[in-house]
Amino acid sequence: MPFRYRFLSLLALLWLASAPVQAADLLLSDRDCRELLAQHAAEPGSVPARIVADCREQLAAAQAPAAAPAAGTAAAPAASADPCAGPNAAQSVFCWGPWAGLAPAAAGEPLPDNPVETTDYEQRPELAAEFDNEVEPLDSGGLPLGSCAPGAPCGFATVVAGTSSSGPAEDTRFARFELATDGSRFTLRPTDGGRIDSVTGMQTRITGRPDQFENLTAGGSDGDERSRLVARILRDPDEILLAADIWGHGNAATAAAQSGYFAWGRAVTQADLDALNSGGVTRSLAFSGPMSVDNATIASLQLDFGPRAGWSGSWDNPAWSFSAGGRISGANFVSEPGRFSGNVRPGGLVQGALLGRPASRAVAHIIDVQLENIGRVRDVGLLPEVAGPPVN
Amino acid sequence: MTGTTRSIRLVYATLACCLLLAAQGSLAASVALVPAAAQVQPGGNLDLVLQIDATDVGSMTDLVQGQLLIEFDPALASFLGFMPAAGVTTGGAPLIGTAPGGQRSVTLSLFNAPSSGPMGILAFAIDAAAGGSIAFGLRDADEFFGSFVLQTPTNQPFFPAFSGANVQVVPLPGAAWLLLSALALAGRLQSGRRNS
Repeated sequence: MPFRYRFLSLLALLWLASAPVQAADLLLSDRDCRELLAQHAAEPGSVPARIVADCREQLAAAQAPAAAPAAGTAAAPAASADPCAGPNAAQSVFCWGPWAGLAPAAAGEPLPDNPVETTDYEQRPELAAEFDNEVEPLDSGGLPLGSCAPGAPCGFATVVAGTSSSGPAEDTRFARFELATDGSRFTLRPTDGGRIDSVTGMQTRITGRPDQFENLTAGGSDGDERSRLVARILRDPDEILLAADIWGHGNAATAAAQSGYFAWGRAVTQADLDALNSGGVTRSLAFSGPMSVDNATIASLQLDFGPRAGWSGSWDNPAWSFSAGGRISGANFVSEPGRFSGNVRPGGLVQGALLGRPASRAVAHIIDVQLENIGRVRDVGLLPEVAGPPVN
Repeated sequence: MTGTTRSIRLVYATLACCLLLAAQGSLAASVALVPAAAQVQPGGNLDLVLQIDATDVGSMTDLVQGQLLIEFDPALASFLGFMPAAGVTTGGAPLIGTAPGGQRSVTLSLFNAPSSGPMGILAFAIDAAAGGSIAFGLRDADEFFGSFVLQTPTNQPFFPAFSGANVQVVPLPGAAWLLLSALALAGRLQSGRRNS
């Protein structure tokens, strides 16, 4: 017996031996059937009789459609396109088979021709505040630290590793800063990602200072987590309007901590901005004060509103100084590359926002400059308004 | 340059570095408890002056805030009170508690203190017997962040060195005993004359 016939016979026997499989279920090609029948003709005992019978039926059935081509001209193309439309669909791995009678296929119900818009969503307004951080995406409007919306809380901060609040400028990062108006918690969103949340419910103590501010000292713990603030603040009457200086957060068990300085307040309202920009006249506001990281640096800024809107400023330290200027966008201001003094290397940045109410305005801002022969300087400052130039 | 000259210069350079380091160490901000008297008698009182020197991190006119923890053995002394220096404000009454090891702790919160000079005076009653000594420990109440901050012109943290005090408890001197005995005798004699 040729090898091919032996192999086919062995295959047929194996199929028969597999327990639940019936000969009727075997899928043999017409060619296999013809060869099996030829083998049966040559050696009658070499092929099981049932397979011989099935093959004969299969070959007879295969010849029937060819004899009646007009019976299903419409159905024939569909059957050839849909592999599950044929008589052997139940054996195909591509078809759902007999299970269709028990459960629909995974594709689910067919879509309606005209989908109807659903507006009946579950409303959870109590969660809205938790996800409304009031900080717009970075790089919005050309503001690398994001913009501050009129009337919304707005702050900037430096971030260093450890508890000392300051470190080398190269290791200092910037963040957006948020403070609860009672001083009991704060949140930072560093510009390079992540989030720092203080413990909630920090104990606060407010004491007097010899300047126009009060001092807020806040601290709290949650397990090994520790947070603290030491800040100059302005209140009206109980709500904190402006705040600046030291923040810290860390874990006493692991000694891992981050800290830094901040400047925070509520941005001027749109009504205040409209008033500053109204009347076709240029209104100038002047601000001055020490920076927070290095309070030997005194910053002086002038913001002009109206037809000649823009700003300029200078930062003077015993060891260095530089100046910058730029544009104003709503409550925000940002430096323009061509308006830095000559000792500032390309890539410098000053960004800030106008905060407070007409009677107690201030600017919060950051500086990030590389100075010739000095090196990098990164700082943050809250500058109260000072008597400025008259309205032009 | 000969080898000897080079060695001498190296020695001088090393010495200069050591002196510089020593000088820097001596300039560090400090907070200390300074006893008003080096010796106290049993049953007497003791004043400890809380002294700060932060002029290396700020100017003489800067103001300081911080929280301090004073620890001592409650069997040897009792805390009587704290008198802040002029201009210094406290964050409420001193907090008295028990530190690990059974030590008594007194926590003080001070604001608007000078950057140099006394911040206030702590008063204690001496309960110890003669012949011993009483150690008063001093440290930052917030040893994680450090609570000391220069308040002006902006708030900036600084980290002073802390030093407590050690006070000797001595018996009353012999002259004092003689004087007391004489006074007692005189009083008794006087009383006897009146009776007669």
